[in-house]
Amino acid sequence: MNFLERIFGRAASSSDSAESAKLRLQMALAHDRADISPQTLDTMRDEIVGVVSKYVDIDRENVQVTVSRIADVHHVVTNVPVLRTHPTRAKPSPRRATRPAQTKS
Amino acid sequence: MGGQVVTITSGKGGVGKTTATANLGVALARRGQRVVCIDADIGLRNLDVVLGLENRIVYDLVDVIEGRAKLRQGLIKDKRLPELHLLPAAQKRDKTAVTDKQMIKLCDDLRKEFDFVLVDSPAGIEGGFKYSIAPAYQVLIVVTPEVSSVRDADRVIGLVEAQEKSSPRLIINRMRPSMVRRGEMLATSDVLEILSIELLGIVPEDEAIITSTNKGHPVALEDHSPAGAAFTRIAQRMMGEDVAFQALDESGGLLDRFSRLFRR
Repeated sequence: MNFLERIFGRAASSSDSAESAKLRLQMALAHDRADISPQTLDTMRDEIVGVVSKYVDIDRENVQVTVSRIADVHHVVTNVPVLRTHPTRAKPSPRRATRPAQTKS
Repeated sequence: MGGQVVTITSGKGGVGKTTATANLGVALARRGQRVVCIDADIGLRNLDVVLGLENRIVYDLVDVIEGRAKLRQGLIKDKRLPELHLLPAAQKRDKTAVTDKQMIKLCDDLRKEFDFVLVDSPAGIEGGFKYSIAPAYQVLIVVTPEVSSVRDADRVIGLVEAQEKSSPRLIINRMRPSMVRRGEMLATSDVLEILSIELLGIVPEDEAIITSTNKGHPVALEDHSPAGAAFTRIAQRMMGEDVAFQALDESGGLLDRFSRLFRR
């Protein structure tokens, strides 16, 4: 559901079959467009989950990997819902470590 | 210079290509445009019955291409609209009877005399589809808000975009606003988000399409039906007029206009 629908609200329904149509289409088209097999997509998803979860707590159930076509270039788009970051484990970026944020005039 | 060749296609069959071609032809001719509709579905001729011109066929597309008839002899003039013409498909031949090159030559000749050459493509992505889009300046994709139709449309859009053509535009056909409101049908914004191409128009589901096809009297001949009015607005947009999108969808025209703004 895109943000416009969230703003305007789509009528609640016990069986939102349109939403499942949309999700199923997005998955099917990912395979069609980039010729990536469902297995490969699953493996990719699992590896992305593995890497990202080393740094932040994520909602593993709702990680989405889709392929979209923008002009004639395929983009692998990954959506990873973050539950929370763990400050102790998160490696600070060298940039922020060496140069604390401050405004120079 | 000359007219534009516009091919109407979809990938999936039964989504309304022929109905769209007939009604766009009628709507354009009613607005004074010189129009010829070509039925490119060789072997499965139908545009003639939808237009109500089936009893007037003497020659067909293949007769013209193979030189048995002059171009002028092959064209059927619609008595209701002096600007509307049909070049019917051959019924006893198959799609191998025509090549891409022959279609391009035919459409180039027609462009000299007509403002719009509308090519009604067969379903599928094989030979018939290929010779139908070969001459096109503009390709219109007809889609219904269903998974199978949207998936096939995506495939066809990819094939059209692989050619050196202006990007295809979308007609969403058989939209049922009440189902969209209940979350039981893909909304215009969903279809546009998935296919990411420009929207040309939305046509509501309308029983008048069935009764008008029964009679061979396209809805766009009159102004009173919702589908006929929608096809007329699409025809106006094809002529370059800026016609607002109607409130057919869930949150109405507002959402559609917003979606267009935010569309990639």
